[in-house]
Amino acid sequence: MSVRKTCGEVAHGRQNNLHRIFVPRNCEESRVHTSALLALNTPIELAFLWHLLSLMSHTSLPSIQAIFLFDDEGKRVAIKYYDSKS
Amino acid sequence: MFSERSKTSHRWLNVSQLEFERNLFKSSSHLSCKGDLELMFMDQHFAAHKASHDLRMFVVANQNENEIILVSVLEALFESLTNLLRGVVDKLSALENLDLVLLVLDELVDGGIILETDPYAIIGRVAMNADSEHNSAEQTISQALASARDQLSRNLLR
Repeated sequence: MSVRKTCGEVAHGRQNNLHRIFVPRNCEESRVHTSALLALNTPIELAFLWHLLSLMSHTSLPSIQAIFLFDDEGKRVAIKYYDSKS
Repeated sequence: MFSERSKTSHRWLNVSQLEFERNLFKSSSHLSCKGDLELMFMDQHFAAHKASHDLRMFVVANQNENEIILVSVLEALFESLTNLLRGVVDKLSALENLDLVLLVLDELVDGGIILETDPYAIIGRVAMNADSEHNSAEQTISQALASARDQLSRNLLR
């Protein structure tokens, strides 16, 4: 029994064939190797980023808590408080 | 309930701040007013102190911070104010030029992080801000004058 296909279906089928994932003959080994190669950068980068973040959390900039300008009686002339969130 | 809690915490914060300021001033009252820079340790805080005429300046940081950094911040503040207030750093000139004083504080430290310790850079930025405000004020006055002139000319032509 023959099934007639429209032009669109035929074209779509060809596209599917074209976009089929290429699997080499030594598929299992190659797949593992490729995935290992592809994934190689990501954990290193993540580890590096993690290391940087931990460094940033541990090394804080010197912070000032307040600046006061008083007169000779101790009254405020200008004051600034800074919230230290770290 | 939340608003009550926030109000009480805010009040407590203000009271503690005032108490801290009072204690700091009391402990610095025996220090000289000759412009010498002094370091004090109080309530787990380091405070750098400098007096000029009847004005006393303090820079406060946590006890873990480096004292030299505190000193450099206070020196930058004092030098900037000296230049901007034309050599006289006292209460009257500071109050008369309070906008400049607050601009210096803003250019010096933001959110506790030290932005600049070079007094000339701070002065440049403060002067730039003051100039831009001055220019904008001049522009508005000139615009007002121009519109008044236009209206007068229209009325005369009618």
